[in-house]
Amino acid sequence: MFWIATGIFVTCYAVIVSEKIHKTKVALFGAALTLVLKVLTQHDALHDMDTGVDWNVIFLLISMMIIVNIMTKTGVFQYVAVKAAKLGRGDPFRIMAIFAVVTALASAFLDNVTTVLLLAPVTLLIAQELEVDPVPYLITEALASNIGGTATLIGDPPNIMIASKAGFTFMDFIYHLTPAIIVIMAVWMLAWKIVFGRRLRVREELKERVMSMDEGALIRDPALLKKSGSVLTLTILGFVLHGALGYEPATVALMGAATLLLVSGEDPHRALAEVEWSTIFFFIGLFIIIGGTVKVGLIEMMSQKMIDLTGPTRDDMFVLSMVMVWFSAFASAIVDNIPFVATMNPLLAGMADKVLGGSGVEALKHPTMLPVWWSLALGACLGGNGTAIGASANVIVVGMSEKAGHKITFVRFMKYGIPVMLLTVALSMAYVWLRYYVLGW
Amino acid sequence: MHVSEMMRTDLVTVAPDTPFEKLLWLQACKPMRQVYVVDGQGRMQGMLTSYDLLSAMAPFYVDSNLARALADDVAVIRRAFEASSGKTARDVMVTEVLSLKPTDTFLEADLLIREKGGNALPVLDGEGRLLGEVTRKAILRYIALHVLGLDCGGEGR
Repeated sequence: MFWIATGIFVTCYAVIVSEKIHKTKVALFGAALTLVLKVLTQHDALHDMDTGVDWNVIFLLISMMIIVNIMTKTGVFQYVAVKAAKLGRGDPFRIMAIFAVVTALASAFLDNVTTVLLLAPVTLLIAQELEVDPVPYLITEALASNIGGTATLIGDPPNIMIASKAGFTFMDFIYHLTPAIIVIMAVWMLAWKIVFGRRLRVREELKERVMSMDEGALIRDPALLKKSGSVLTLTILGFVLHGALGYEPATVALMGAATLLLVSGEDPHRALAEVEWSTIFFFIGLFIIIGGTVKVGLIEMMSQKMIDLTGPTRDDMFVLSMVMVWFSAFASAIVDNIPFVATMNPLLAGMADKVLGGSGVEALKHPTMLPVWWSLALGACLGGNGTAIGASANVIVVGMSEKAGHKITFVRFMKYGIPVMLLTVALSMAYVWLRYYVLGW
Repeated sequence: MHVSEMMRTDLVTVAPDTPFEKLLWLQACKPMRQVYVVDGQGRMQGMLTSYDLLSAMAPFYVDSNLARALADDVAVIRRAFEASSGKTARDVMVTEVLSLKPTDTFLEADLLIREKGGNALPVLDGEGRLLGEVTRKAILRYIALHVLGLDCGGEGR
């Protein structure tokens, strides 16, 4: 059974990385094999805490997708994008920087793919009107979406998965990761100013094309905007308080989605049809495959190996933290960070069990473990910036740019992505070292 | 009835390297809705309609809502046309086109148009050469006049 589960895991992973077959098909087939070959029982797969599907992640994703899909109909995201462009007063670098910040902020609360899908079209239009190459703007947005999404629990699926496994609250992420991301964004924008500040030029008369845009005309449904804006605000408030109130994040998100469906009058068939079911079933399949490897002890073996290599103790996991941030970053640059984190989560939980005794919340959220989790989150999220395939947002941006007639080669993306990845991961490493091992906060 | 008996044969055809401006002129100034792209031997390569030309001139990233923010829509279209002006029929045409054989029945044509949408279907011979087209209007006319016996000379009662 060990070799069956390991074989399914390795084969599925390899096929997913190769991108020869759609990853959802691979994950579902691997999950079905895991059940049919009795690596896991159906009960294990659907109900067990350690081996089963993490329904908290699933329902959080579905619920946020519903909320965002309904909000998109109001035109508010196009409004924000055009308004942001006008704030730049037609200055090409200022527009790039403002778009980066807006993208990062949006990504902290919406998922990264949705953010770039909403903002990239306006970016292409602005670039067309200013007669500038859209590629630097689009790549900047992809990078910003990955960076911004690292800041909160709901910003990026790896964070949702880590939070669910380790029992972190929304405010844990605000307290531990948001400060790092704010610093990282600031340093990156300074670096970008040096790189692009003088290179981007626009004729004065073209700036008027952007300044004459009427962003007010973009709000199609003010009534729906009021309702969806209120529900989103209350949902975020719910996230802030969920730890204190004793609710899982999925409960908060589900309440938000259900409320918005009710008050918006939206047809539920249409609202639900727009959920990215392919992504959801990819997660479900993945959880079951990983559950199989947990059940047969492969994950325990790997966690023991990790302990042997990095020597974590009850009082000190410094080496493990430093290795984790870089290992996660490089792994995420090459492979999808979701299967990577799905594998690392039980691995780290198993390690906590061995080193700290017990795999309950006390061990998972032990002060010595905290920097290891944050290193995993930072590395897994920021590493995706390294290559055009490192994150879904990158793939979307490259696809859109090509469709608009501006091909972004793998190498061209890396010329932007690798330096940003190295800079942001180095800053993350410095942050973890300084905060948890020097200052001890 | 076979489609060969109801198809029209006076079609507008162009070569694959026909410039975009010529296609625009044809769609704007000629009554035909479909323009067929054929090679030197008369084999159909694709077809295009006004929808395809408009799609070529409208950037995919500007939807109807975003267009509301634009101060000068005429200028945007003019710039889009300039960006499209290097294109040819080959760049704009739709290549995945359902077609009919001359021996297909009018009912097959009718149902195919209804299932797949569109205004007309080309009729091709065994070599892929364009013989004619069957339009929705022609099918409707056949049903009304020949199947149901309506009289165009009356007032439609």
